[in-house]
Amino acid sequence: MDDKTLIRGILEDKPGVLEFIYKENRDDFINWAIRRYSCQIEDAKEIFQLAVILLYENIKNDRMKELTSSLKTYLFAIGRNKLLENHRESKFLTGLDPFIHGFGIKEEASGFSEEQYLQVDKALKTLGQGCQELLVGFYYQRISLRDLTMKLGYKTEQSTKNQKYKCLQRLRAMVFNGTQN
Amino acid sequence: MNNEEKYIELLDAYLEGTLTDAQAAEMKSLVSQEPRLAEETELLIGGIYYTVRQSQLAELKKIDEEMGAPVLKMNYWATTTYQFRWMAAALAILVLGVVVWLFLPNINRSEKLFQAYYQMYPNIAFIQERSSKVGEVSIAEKAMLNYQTAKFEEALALFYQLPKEDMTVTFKFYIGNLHLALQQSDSALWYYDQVIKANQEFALQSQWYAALTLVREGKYKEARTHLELIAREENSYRKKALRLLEATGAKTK
Repeated sequence: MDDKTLIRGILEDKPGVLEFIYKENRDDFINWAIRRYSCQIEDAKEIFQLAVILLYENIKNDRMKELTSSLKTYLFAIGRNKLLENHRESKFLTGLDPFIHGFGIKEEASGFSEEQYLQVDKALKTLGQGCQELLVGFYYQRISLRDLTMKLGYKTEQSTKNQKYKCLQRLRAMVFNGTQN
Repeated sequence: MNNEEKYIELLDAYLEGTLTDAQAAEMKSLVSQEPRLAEETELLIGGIYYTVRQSQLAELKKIDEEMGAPVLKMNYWATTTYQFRWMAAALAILVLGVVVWLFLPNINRSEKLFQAYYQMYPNIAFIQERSSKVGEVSIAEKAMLNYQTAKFEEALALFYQLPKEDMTVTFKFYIGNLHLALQQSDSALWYYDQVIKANQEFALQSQWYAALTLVREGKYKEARTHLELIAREENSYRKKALRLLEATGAKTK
């Protein structure tokens, strides 16, 4: 699969695209990370996993309007930044949760704690599949309301919008008031 | 339509790339009237990201297990030249470390304390410039992209190209962060001070980063002034501020 096909695959949420990218690049990345940054295999692997997710998000968030290098180079550049961050912080922050650490959303950076994110996580999981698909689709996968209307079988774009608002309000109520609207 | 509903509608327009200048101004005014709207929504969307990322990580780990151990292409420690280089580098670092430890204990302590609490603030700014056209990447967006990818000097150069009337407190806060990342403490403090004085969005964050900047400079007394202000009220930085107050030698009750 060429880069354009892969990017289109991510934009259209085709199954198996991230798996393909992961399998195609993992060993090269790990070898490169060990050689260039003298890190451990497990660290390189974890960072590569974060890089693949960030690549996905950058494509979805339209941050890669024109790819001036290959997808592999771009993926490695994301990984490189994470390796450097890891290297810079490892002196002082050993033992920190690698997920939070890796994404740079530590308590003092985002203003929110992991506990707060876990609270949202828990509430989101109790919302039901319909609401989860709507909220994740719109806010994370950045699918337009028009496409979500077709994908999830709503009658009109306005009804999708109304339902998304209701879902967000239910989530808000569960997180901030501890109740279900 | 209540403020909450209006805010979500404007946020949707922003995310879909259809937010007009007038709507951006309306959004800004809503947030300044009711900062809770942006804070709560930021946490909810951050939580959605958190959930999905965790599930994606689990998926990737599963794929990884199926793939088995990675194939390493060479033994990097096989040659004596490599070993020699690393030993020489380690020795040089050791000597440098001893020198720093002996002669610069205070700087070492300040920097360590700073690093223990410092984390670059993430890019969460809503950008709307007067000059930007629909579909065109604006100067501020380019600056924020560079900020996000740790190209600090490039980001700073782009921010300084912004017209004076577009220089919002948000941008001033991020410029402060860039100066801090580039270890330009005086400039960082100047920008944080501007944001604190404006007392709008990012004022609390600016207090925190100004305190960190002063900690790095070893100016603990001045840092404590900011930290005490943060610790006065319940907010997301309070616990950290209290810990840092203690670490910088404030007397605890």
